[in-house]
Amino acid sequence: MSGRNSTCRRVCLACLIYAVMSYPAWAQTKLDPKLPEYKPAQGVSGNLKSIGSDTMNNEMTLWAEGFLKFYPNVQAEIEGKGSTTGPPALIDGTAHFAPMSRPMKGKEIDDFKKKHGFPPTALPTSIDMLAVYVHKDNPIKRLTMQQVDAIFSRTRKGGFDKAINTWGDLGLGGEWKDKPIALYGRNSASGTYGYFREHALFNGDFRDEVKEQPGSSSVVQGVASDKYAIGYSGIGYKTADVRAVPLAPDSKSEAVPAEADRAYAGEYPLARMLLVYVNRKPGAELDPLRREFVRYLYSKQGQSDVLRCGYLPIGEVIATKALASVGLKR
Amino acid sequence: MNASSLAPVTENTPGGKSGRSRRPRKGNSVLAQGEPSIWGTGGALVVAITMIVGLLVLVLIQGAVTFWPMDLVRIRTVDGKVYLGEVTREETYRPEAEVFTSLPPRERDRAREAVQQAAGVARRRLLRTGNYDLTGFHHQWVSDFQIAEESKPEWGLVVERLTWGNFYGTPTAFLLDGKEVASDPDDIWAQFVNHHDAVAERFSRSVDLNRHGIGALSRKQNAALLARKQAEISYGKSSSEYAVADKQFAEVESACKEEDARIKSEINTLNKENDRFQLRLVTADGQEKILPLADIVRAYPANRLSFGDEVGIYFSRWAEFLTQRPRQANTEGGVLPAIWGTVAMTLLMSLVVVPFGVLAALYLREYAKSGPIISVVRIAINNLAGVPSIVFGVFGMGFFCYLVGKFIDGGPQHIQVAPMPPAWWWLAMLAVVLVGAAAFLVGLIGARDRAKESRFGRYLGRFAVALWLLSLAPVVYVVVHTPYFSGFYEANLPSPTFGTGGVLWASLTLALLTVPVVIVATEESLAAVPNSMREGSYACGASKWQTIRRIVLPRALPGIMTGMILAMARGAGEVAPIMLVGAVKLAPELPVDGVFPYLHPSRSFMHLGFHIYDLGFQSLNSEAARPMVYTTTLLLIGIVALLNVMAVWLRSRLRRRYLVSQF
Amino acid sequence: MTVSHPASAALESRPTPLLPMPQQPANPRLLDHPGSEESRLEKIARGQSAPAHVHAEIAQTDPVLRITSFSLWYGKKQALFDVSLCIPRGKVTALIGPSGCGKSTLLRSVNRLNDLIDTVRVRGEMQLNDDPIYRPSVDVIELRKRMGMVFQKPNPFPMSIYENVVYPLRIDGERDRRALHEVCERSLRGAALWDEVKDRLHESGLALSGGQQQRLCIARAIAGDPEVLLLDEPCSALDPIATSKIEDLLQELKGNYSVLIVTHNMQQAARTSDFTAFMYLGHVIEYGPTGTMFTNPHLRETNDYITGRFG
Repeated sequence: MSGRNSTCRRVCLACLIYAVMSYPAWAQTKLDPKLPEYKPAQGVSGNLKSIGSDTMNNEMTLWAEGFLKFYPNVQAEIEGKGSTTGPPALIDGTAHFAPMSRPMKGKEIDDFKKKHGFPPTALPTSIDMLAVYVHKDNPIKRLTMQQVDAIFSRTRKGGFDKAINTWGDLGLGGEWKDKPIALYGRNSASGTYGYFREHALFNGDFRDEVKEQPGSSSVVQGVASDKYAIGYSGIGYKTADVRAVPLAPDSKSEAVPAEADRAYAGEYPLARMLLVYVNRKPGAELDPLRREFVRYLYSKQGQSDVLRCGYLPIGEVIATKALASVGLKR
Repeated sequence: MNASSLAPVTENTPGGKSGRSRRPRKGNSVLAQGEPSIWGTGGALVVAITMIVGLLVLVLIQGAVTFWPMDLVRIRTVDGKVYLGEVTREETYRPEAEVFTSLPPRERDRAREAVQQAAGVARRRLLRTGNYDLTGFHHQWVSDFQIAEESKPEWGLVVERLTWGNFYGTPTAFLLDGKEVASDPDDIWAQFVNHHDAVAERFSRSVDLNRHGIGALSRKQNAALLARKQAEISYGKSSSEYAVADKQFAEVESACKEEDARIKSEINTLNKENDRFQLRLVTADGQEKILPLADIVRAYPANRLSFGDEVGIYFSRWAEFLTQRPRQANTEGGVLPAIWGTVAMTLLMSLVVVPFGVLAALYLREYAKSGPIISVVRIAINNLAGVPSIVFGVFGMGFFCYLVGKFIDGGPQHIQVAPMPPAWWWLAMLAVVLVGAAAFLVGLIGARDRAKESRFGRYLGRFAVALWLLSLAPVVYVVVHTPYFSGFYEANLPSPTFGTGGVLWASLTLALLTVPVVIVATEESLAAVPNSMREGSYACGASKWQTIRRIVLPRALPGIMTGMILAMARGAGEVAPIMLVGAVKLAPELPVDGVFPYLHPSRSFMHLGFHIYDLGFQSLNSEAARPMVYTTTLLLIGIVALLNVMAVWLRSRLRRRYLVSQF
Repeated sequence: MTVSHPASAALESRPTPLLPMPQQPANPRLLDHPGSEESRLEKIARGQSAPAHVHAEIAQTDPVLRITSFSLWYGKKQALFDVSLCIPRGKVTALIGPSGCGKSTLLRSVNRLNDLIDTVRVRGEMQLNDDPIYRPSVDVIELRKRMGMVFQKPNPFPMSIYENVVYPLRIDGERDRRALHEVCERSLRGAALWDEVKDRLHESGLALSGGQQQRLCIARAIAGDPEVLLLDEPCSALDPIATSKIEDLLQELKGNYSVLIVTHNMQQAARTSDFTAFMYLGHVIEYGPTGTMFTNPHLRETNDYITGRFG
């Protein structure tokens, strides 16, 4: 199980490296000009249903909106209550697509295989940076991953020597010195929760004090309304009221701000692939509806939708590879 | 004589020292007169009203001002950045010392001094700067001490776009076929006003063509495809039925192809015509951007508006909000699907819950003999009203969607039930029918015997009920295990039709949730029908049912309506359960529309309550979504109020008809 | 005459009138209990039975309703003891007696309204025009259609005046508008209400005044052309003027209808009825023509009651 898990991680890593390759030295987030323009096909209709990640809820909605412009008679239904809700729906056949902000776990893949006899196909669609947000007036300059771990977890597997309870523990002075840190996070159905736990908490456990929010946006709003708060959420949900703290892998390294080029360069520690899972029998053709939706995802329009909701688009190399994984040519 | 001699004595002893001293009467104390209780009860009422009115006023004000157009402010900061945008919010704060170090050295001391003079407090404003496609952010905080220059540019233009959110800039050119036809702001604006309506008209026509024209075509195509697939499942690929269906499909497809090409070319012409018109704008920081007119929903020079213009924009935004579909992951555009979804679901729910609840209450109040079982039932119903709504949601999902719905979709196999062998099934069916018939007969005999006051008749009645119950479970079992049913939507599988959330399941779930409300209200109103009326009716020779139908129900109708109002109010506002059984973030197809069969009970739907939740907790741009939360809340409250007002009006009409009484 | 407590309690608190009072100018024709100085009322209060005294005139009438040794229990409590009465055709018969003596119970037993109460048990028989009332084979609905009943409080139905009156026909499924209208007019005229409401037949019956409402109920009761009309203290909720109107109406109804009326008001019984039965604690004490009952009662107990010495 852990073996398969690490395979997933390797896949994602590979994707990230591809992303780096396709974006040699771009400072600004822009679309890869090599991505194809989407051209509608014939005979696409029916019901398109997506169940899964809440982080990708808006992204899926934008994709669906864009897709529906080409196929107005397609009925699209988007449900996003957390990545955990995706696999059962995909296994059951209630959803055509399962957007997930984390790779499927071994058990989920096993369940899928048990029902269908082959594993689900993961399509990397875009890149998200999980940011650690503080209130806009918070003067904190940087955090190491170990500090983040010591703030959010009670296990401190990252190896920080003591628990961090107040802003003073992070070196802030003045009025901040003895103010306790208010913690905001996601609920456990969310892929963001799982990803943060795996990568920022080093598979440790969250503290009980973390206020679990029902949506990515509400984490940001929680931090915005609480001056002494800290929380984690996708970069797409950033508002003017919060600031994403630059993160350093360890105390000796330079802190990396949550910026696109640093994610593409593979330097930002909490960058992750946003995936869309589909049920495709190896060697079989996708039905026209799903085929066209996948093609739309990897088109200029689809990736521009990614930009519109604040995530980072992928390059043409990954797109081609992903299309190939479901038997499509660009 | 006696009295006159006593009188001076009492007068002489005001302190009451004499034998007949006047005891201070407790009745005169404030406590005894009940003043404090008036204050207490009145105070409680005032607190309650204040809270309700406060909430309403907050929602009303916040929701009502959202669409009012604001002035555009252009700000140049001391470190050389320029912003153009609407001020959405302002606040005061205590800047940290480090804040000043980021300023240029010359300005640093001036800013620090200014803040110190204001006792360390500074004001900052949140500018909505838009232009997300260029800058990567929607909003920007600007503190007063950062400002080097502030102005309200005359030709600052607010452009609401179909995608990417608002754009703020000043117009530099109006382009026709790529050529500049106007460069003076006045001329550009005149050109824009001149052409925009026609462009918008063409755009909506092309959308309509797309949605209705092509939509109808592919519905036709889809139906033929499904028919072919059904034929394949039922008769096999080599059968003649399949050949017929296949031929039909080919005919439909070729017919559609022609029509499709015609419509597409029409759309193409419209779009091509629209593409000729473009607007070039320049942002505050000097970037140029060309916007096609078709991409512009609405544009206005914010600082040149007269009051009348502002009112016009305000109402046109409301109109858009109420009649358009959502855009930009629900943060912009309208909420029409959510309004429809909410209303359709609520009405469907009342359609289910009222007859059901009224019948149950009638039995409980009019027919059932009071006893321990009825008491238990009544307690259970009252407790049902207190069960958390999410529990109903879970039940609805598990039972309606995943069991009943899947059965409707794909028959027994689809819910992992092995159908019985036909012979056994017929045998079981026969047995069930026999038991049912026996129950019916026993009941009939029992009823006749009961009329004869015999105890035997009463026992027979109980036996009949037991038999009915006994046959009920096997009926379900037999129906579920039928070998002759493989679903109404087999051809559509694996995509579910009823086997997932939908407006029907949501209505049924909410009906379950609100049925206690209706039962309790109906029971109360039935109990309030004076017994003398019933007796009067019986004395006229009316049977029980005649009495109920002609006397009791009409008289209780206002009370039943009250129950319905309460149920509707509760049902329309409930979000948690419907999230599980059919409300979704995006469902552009309405559950009720002009396409046969008009009501589509299997469709997922959007719901205003869920929309509020979505805007509040899931929206990408929570700053921009906040006012929309209030506006949507205002709308939801308005719709619930409207539904209630309608029901109250109906009730008062009924009351006038039935309840003008002197007793 | 207002009796707010049960009669038995009244007995205990005011025993004096029950004692033989020799100084009272006794009616020479008053019968004493054979072989006993004890009052019938005392015996009844102790739970013993006492035979009813029925005047000979009754036997000469043609009975529309015959009650034969009828007993009734509410659960364990017996409310009627072996009541036997013959109600003459075309006459007004009044039931009088102190509160709780079972007058209303008896009246409601005639059209089996007491069936609606679960705990009621009955013994004995009644016959309406020689048709049994308490037999298992009797269809209660059909039975009730042969009688009309008016209650203590006016209870018009929540519908128009017209619909109120034709209600008995409506439930029979009568659709013929002419017939309905004819019955409506006849009944309203019969109840002396026609002139007051003929212009607003389609207004709510609940909009009428109390007296009008009660006459509306009488109209409803006679709409079905009943064989016997049962009136349960029809004037107790009305003011004197409305009461006198109803009493006048009763005089007019006499002859066409057989009326059995329960009343608390002795003057009313004396004014309106042809025969009077005096009941006490579930027993009929004396039954005879109203004139005799009020001027020359055969029993001292009746005399005591009608002169207001108890009750």
